Amino acid sequence: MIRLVEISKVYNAGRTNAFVAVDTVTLTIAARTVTALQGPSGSGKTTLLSLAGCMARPTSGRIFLEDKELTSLPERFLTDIRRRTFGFVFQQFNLIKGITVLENVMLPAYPTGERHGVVRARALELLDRLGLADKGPARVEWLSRGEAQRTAIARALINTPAVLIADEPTAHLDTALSREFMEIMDQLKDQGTSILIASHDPLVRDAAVIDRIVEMRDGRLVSGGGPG
Amino acid sequence: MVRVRNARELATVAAKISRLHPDSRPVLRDDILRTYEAVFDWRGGVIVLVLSGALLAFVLLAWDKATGLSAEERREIGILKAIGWETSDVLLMKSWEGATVSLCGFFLGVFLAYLHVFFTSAVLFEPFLKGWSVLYPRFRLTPQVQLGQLAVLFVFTVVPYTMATIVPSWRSATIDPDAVMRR
Repeated sequence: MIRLVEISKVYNAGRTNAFVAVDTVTLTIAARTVTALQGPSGSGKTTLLSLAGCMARPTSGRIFLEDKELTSLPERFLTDIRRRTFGFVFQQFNLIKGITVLENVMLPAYPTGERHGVVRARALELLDRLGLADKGPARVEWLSRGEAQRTAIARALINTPAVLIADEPTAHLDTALSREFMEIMDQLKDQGTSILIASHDPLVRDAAVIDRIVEMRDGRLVSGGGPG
Repeated sequence: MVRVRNARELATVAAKISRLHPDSRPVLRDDILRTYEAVFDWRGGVIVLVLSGALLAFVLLAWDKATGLSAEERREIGILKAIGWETSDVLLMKSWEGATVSLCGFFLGVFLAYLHVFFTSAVLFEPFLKGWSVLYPRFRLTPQVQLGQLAVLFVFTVVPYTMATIVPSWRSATIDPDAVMRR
């Protein structure tokens, strides 16, 4: 589904503080699978997630979604693909304070121009599915960590993406909430969503839902690369 | 009050009244108008000074808005970009936000000013503008709404404030969406 071909990402390229975050990585991620990127901090997991999710452009190499090359697309088209194909769950949840849970969940759908009533109904259905049916009108500041995490998942799913990308999703969760997160991932996988998780949490690595583990170190793949 | 048909005789009549009634003080219409003019001229100047202070405060507020966003606002824009908003979507939202805030402020201000002038006879400014016991005879100011003045106020407040909210948002909205992932 997603094919990364010899991609590299260099920050501050051409300067004295140039830093190679991802170094000539080739990786194929199959549809309807759960892939875990493992590795120590600074190994390039997050950057690889950004590249796979069209959040950043590689310095070199090419990225394909199905058979469409994304690397050369203008920003506008890339944003549209990112919006419709990928859902993101961030380490810090990154919910917007001052607005309600329901409004946070609906945010990614606003630029699509879809009717407000349709988006709202879908957001309510997602909140219901994730056990947050009664939290819709609540402000996000009032949520517990587990509830904030599930709100972030609901937001990631609002545009019914084919791929869910999660960056260190269990970093701020206790064991019970981490297990709950992996159970949700299991359900999403059953519903046909491809999942890409970056984590150095052993609980994620050992979860039954994981189909494949890709090890990274110093921006390179150590193991688990190649075809998915 | 004495009325004199021939305006050229006013000074003569006043002089005669003074001579006949040494304890009185005849005041001519021209004297009143001259006093009003003198009084309102400098008071108008003071009001312009106060208005200048208010305008300066507004410009400082707009400048503060234009020169930077708070860390929280920058974070929000970063999140919106990361979850699939384009730069133009962010700018559109920010311009609506700026326009809504400034329009609400403008209409609230106009409404309160209308109440102040038409229902309380400008209770805050009246004593200052008219003076306390300086002017005679007593008179009432006639309030009026001038659409031209409202339009000038609109152009000098709503438009710059809306623009001031867009400029820093534009600077923040051009960041890479993956900046949120790297925080």
